[in-house]
Amino acid sequence: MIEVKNLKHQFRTPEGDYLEALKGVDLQIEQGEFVAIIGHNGSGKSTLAKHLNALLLPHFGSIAVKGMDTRDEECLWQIRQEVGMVFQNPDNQLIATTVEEDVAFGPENLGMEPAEIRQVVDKALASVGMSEFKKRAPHLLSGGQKQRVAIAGVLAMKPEVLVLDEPTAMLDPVGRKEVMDTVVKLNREESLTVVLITHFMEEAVLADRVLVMENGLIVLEGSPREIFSQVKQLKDLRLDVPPMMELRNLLVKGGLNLPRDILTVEEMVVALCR
Amino acid sequence: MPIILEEVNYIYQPGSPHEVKALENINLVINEGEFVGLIGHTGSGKSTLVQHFNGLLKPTTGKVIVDGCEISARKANLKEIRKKVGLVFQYPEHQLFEETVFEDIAFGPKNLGLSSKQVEQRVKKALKMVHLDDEKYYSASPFTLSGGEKRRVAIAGVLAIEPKYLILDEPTAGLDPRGRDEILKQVQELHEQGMTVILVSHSMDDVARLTQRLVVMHEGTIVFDEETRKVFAHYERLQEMGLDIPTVTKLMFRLKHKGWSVRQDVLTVEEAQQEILQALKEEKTHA
Repeated sequence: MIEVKNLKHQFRTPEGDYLEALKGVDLQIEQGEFVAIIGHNGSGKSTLAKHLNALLLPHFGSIAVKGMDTRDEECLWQIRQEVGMVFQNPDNQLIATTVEEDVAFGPENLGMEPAEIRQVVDKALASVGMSEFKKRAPHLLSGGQKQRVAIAGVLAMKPEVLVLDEPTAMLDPVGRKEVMDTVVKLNREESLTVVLITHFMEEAVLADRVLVMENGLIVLEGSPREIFSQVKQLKDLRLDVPPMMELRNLLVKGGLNLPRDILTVEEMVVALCR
Repeated sequence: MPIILEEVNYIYQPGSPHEVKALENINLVINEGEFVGLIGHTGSGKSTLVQHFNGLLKPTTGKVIVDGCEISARKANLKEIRKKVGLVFQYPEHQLFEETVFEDIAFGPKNLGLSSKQVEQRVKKALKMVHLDDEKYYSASPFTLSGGEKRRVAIAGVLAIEPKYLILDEPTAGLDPRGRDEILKQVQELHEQGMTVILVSHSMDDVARLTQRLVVMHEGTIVFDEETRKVFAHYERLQEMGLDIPTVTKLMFRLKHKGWSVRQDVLTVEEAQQEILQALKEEKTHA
């Protein structure tokens, strides 16, 4: 679906120096996959994400979306339609006075027929569980609801890939859960390919594959189980370690015999009650 | 002397069709030197409550007394109160405005009418408290700093007033794990140096680790106000309110449910380790 080859990108700092944000990233994302990217601020996560729909273009290397090179201007609009993005702050993404108008903005710009717009908007709102709010004003919704509307706005473009850049960073725990339940459902039930950038390890655990970025490179890659059982590496990178994994290691030190990878409370209960 | 709230009620837009009761009969005492966590779902009244601590909001009815001075009174000297109670809002970096970090932090002390020498001392001290005391920061534009650094500058701006009470409204929202740990470590240090701290947070793991006392708000009222450890014993009630408990505490509840004899008021992985090993040992001696 998406193929990133030796991608490099640099920014100019206000002092006039060059900062290498991506230093040669290779990555393949398959259709229907759910990939989570974790890493610190400044590690290059968002810069990578913005390359996936040609908001940024490579300075070196290449990115192909369904075989289309993002540097090919002819393909630009098709790439943007295939790869939809949702950002951190919901208030910066909603523009219309009602929810349904906001979601209709994309399809209107694609020049769809009104009857078809009606249909895709209704379907998109149903997919994120916001149908009953369609006549409401976006600014009066909760944070989680706003993000779901932002996701619906992207879905109305009928994309194949959904890229989310810290979509829950500004939400409370309830809003966070709403958004993550929606993302997981879209991936599992509607086989949307998902790329999720997050700081929350409980969210990354839901993915098929986790990438850890540091200093412009992918430094670890694997299933959530493989990644989150590497307690020492995660601590060295000063990333969060799942509490159950940490406890598992302490218990093994205390003489218990436990499986290598325990991520959730339920798994710990099962392992201890054997 | 403490911050005391007596039978405080607060109504937004009273008498209008938009009338909302945000606080209902709040009685609360925050003693000097305490580290108190304040949690609750969005809309529970947390932010409305903390704005009463320094007179940004005045109660519709009831009393707020800070250091013996009733700030809910009509002619209260709010300037004095705001010197004592420093409030760090959510996303405080949005309030940075000066051209240099130094000037931004100096804004508060200058308005206190201090001499330029005293102002400089205050700024340097405040930057030291947030570990940004490298001189390169003094002349840097606050807008070129990283998210975590910006937030520390914003907090330093409040510390430069040298408040007795420090209230932080979700100081780690939107930060990465490294930025979060840095801020929380500094808050912990400030508390150890004697500052009274009130931490508003959504993160149960953070309040569990840091605070001794926890106030839980729901729909404008205080539901629990106890030792942090004890609050999490109300697991089911907290869940009803849309709140969670720390992951290790959850594990202990599940084990207890399965018939293990373990304490449920466990807050850290180290405590959990001890409890589990102890329970297994006892089981062996009984068998």
